[in-house]
Amino acid sequence: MKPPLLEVRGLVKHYDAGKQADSRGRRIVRALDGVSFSLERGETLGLVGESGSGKSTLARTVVGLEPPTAGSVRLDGLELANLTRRGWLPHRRRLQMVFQDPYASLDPRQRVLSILAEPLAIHRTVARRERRTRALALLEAVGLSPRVAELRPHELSGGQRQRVALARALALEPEIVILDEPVSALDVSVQAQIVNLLADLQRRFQLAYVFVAHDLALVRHLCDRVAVLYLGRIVESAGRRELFGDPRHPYTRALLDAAPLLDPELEARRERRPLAGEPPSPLQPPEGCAFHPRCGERAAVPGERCRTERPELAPVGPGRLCACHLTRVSANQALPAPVIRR
Amino acid sequence: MALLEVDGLRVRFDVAAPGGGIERIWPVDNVALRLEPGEALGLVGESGSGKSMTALALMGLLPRGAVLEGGAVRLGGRELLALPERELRRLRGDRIAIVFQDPSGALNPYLPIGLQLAEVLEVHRGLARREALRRSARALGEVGIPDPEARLAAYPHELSGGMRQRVAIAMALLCEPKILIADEPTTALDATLQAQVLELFAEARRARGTALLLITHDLGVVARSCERVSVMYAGRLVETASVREVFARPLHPYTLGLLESAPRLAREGDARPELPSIPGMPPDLARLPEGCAFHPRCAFRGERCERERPRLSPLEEDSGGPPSARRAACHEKERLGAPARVEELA
Repeated sequence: MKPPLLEVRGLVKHYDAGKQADSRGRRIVRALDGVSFSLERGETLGLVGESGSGKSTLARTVVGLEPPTAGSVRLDGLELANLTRRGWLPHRRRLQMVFQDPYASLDPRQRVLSILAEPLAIHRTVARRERRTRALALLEAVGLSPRVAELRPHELSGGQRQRVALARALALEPEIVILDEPVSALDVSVQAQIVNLLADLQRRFQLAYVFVAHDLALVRHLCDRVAVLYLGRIVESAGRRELFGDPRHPYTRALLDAAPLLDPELEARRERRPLAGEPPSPLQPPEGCAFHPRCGERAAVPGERCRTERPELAPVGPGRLCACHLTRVSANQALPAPVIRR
Repeated sequence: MALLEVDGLRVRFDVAAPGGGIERIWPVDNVALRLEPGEALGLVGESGSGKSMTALALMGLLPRGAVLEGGAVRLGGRELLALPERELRRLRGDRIAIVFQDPSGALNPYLPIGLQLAEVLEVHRGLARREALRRSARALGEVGIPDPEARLAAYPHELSGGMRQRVAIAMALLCEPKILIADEPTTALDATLQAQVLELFAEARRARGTALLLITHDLGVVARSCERVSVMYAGRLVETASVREVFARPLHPYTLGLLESAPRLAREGDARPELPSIPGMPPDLARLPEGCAFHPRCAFRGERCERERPRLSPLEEDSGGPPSARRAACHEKERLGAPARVEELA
């Protein structure tokens, strides 16, 4: 069988917490604690979760900006996780990343033309005299006029800068682009332009996206599948329709409950049960299920299991996984009635 | 009489021009707001629209370099802008309080939060330290901070961002102000914490009738928390109406564009059409377009829009109505407001 385009297995990333030790003297931040997913050609996987959930660390580790502590990242079956920087280079062009803040990710001293030509030069994919033509074609692909080529990043608007960042990511004709909150730093009136551009580029170049975002409506709009992260672990993953129509994990449900609906009539009728508390520190993850101290549904699980035993990510339906004792319990009994949300 | 009435508010800034010299810009230009007791008004705009500067101006907290060129701010009929700083200071934190996006600005990093809260009550209410601390602990409990007595001794850096924002809100509500101004209070917070903070505001309104001026770029927050909304673009008000009216049938093409371009969580169906987007970008305040500042991005623009700046005014059918009637600054608003045209526009 053909391996998936991208396959991540048991990815772990621990950081040294420095002077901050927990009560048992451990000094490790478990940013990622065993994350697995796969991505097929042309597909968009959404990664959602709150700050501290590990979604940005996951993105950076997958593209090799951070070496993983353990686990495997395979591109077309080829292991990348243990490669050195130099070893990464030939594969780098297949896997690109776009960051939230184009102010920080573009070199302020370079003109746009050389920002776009640089990856072509490093990877020698395009002959020197053709680089300019190629850079201008990239600008056109992201909807910018050729005169932008002579400008520097500070002369561009936020939306234009993010377009340049996208053009640079596309320069090497990647198969996968990791997008880390690509529109959340942009003006609201400009966000839709970039969202449409992302969809358009995906169709034109058969790109696979990993889309890291906190805006659930945007994730619903752009993604085919969604994985929900909590404290360095995936707690639920499913197809877009299943996840938004019938969320199984109590945390996914809480996130959906908290998300604004952009409709005053619906908001007025909505049941309000905001999740209590805050995400715990990855320095001291709770025992058992990491979500249990905030979970409103753990009374439905017999005994102390949520407090003592970590639920494994397990199948709960075709193509969907959930890490919750509740869904395990109900799989053995009757499935709970789907929650009517809207 | 409205609790808060703002009229003709105008703030000027002198900024360095790119080619040398000084340029004048008006980040707030002829802004008018009304807030009734207990009401929640959303003030919506993008970065640079002037929404935050409006809040600072009406609190008398303009930054250095900003000049208040005109306008009136009446709190319970009393003109604020003419008051000496001493009197203003007495009102701030007492009758009218403000919460910012970044709570660190409101908290002194060198003092335990208990002392900072207690000081507000000592100054404004003349309470003794012991009583002030007791009430401060109660206030922390009311905003959902666990173990509030123990937390009085905590320094701001010992709290998470969400907790710091709660402390700032507790501090703002300490003297039971008539008006709470919240400037992007949840923008830096995660979704579940945002929902908690909006619930705190709702609770303050229910329990004490506090009026809320909620400044945000997020129409979703407005839909959840406000009854009325005013929309700003390039320093000017472009639309003001009830939240229901604005979401059902916006009168200004900019408002319509913002609503249409946002993907919806509750939208039916599985199709994912292209999002209708607003072309272009917000203008540079030093180079505002002639006529309507939005016209270069507007799908409804006519020739008049390029020449003549539209005034904020009601639809013909509403003219002569109450001051709370919906208004828009658009030459084409009758077209947008006509019920028969809505399907056509969508």
